Amino acid sequence: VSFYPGQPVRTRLQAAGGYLRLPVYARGRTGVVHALRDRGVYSVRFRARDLWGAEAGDHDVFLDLLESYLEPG
Amino acid sequence: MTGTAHTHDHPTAPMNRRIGALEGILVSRGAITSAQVDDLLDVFSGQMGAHNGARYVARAWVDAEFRRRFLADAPALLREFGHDLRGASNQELARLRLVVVENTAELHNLVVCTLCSCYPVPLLGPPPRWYRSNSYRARAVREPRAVLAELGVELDPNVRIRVWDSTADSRYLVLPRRPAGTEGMSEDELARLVTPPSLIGAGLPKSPQ
Repeated sequence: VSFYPGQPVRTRLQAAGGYLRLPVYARGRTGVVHALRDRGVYSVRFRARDLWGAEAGDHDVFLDLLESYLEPG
Repeated sequence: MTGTAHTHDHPTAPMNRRIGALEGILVSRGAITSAQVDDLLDVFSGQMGAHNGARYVARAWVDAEFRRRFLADAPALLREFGHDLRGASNQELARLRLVVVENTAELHNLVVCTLCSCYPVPLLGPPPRWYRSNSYRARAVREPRAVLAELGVELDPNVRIRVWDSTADSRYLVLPRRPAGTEGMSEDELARLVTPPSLIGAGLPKSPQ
């Protein structure tokens, strides 16, 4: 699987084993691919409200995530 | 020494003693030399400092083409200029996977590492204690506007905030807005206005005078 900028993605609840750098607050959440960082690493943009609910502010949070953490959103 | 002597120590004294003891053992067994320790301290405290990041920002403020390339492909720029910009000649610079994000009148960027304490060390030096605190790491992603206000960065409500959580190999540096009233200032003068927090969006550059 590979993703393209602008594509909606969802982070997996259970990513594959190994070294995991997917913060708890971003598991099982929907975002949009912002850019390809490295081979197999994507910058993904999340709306604060999609991370913490309606009371969250209107900012965006960007995380660099491995392809294995993601599925099409 | 009496059993209560330690109560007069500075809070960091036990750690300092432990580090000193470890260094002594490693040196006496020939694993490292004192000169190597001094070199490393110089790299971290002298060569890798916010003066490096400040030079790149000041150059970007005065040179539009440099700014364009800084934002488009910072690693290529670091490989090219790492040995030209004074004080920025450490070897880590060329390996830094740097992404530069630009503050504008409509957009403010803030950098955090919620998982640990990732930070663009070659351009900023070691991260300050507050950057590594649980409080900053938890709150910067969740309520950045409140965190920024506490840090003295009062943003217009219309300014959008982007928070960059350094979860992989890329390191983020903020290109702050050039302060008003700095027209005609030299690159050196401008670099002195660039504070370490302003390079991760947790502060603003100083105003002139």
